[in-house]
Amino acid sequence: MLKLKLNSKFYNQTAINKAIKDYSPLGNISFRKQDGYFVVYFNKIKSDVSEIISDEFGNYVLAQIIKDK
Amino acid sequence: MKKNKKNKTSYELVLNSKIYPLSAIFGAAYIFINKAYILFDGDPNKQIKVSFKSKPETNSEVLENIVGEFKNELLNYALREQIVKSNQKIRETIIAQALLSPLYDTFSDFAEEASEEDQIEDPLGITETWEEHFGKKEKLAAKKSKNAKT
Repeated sequence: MLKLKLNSKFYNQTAINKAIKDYSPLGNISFRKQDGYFVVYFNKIKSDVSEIISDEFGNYVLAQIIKDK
Repeated sequence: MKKNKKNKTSYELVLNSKIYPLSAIFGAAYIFINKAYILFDGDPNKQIKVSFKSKPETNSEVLENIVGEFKNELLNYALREQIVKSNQKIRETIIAQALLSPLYDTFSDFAEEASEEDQIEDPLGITETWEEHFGKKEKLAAKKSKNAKT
């Protein structure tokens, strides 16, 4: 299972939720808050995007946050 | 600013948030978001760690260039923020003047129109003072007496 840790001091839940919604066609994505981090889990990801999905997801969340500022 | 070269496909910059505000780092990062994978970590009030990871289509040289350009862009953003802060009062004054000047013109036009409308005809001399009113009568009487004598 792929995992991505996003520091909650920089990343927010609203942006993560939006990214999960937008990336939902690519697989099952969920997250939970743990020790100051949002830990995002990627399950059953389409094979053609499985290598890049966590990094792309991180960039997408970051873009949402910067856009909202 | 510390640069830790992890390996060929990723870099990590450690930035002091007192020198580089988070908003400036975010602004600079946004420019390179389509060229590399960027991840933030650390403490926004102390040290901010920015990780760069190459995309499948980019090689290590390109990533190194991206990190270099990011640093330049970061300086650009930090300086811009400093200028914005130092010019804030001047900017506010100019905007306030620009916003208020049309209002001032409207009010002065209105005041002129109002003063013109206030000038009412006064055939009976009601608005005249006692001296003005009776002064005229005395002058008329004096004129009449003069005419009568001649």
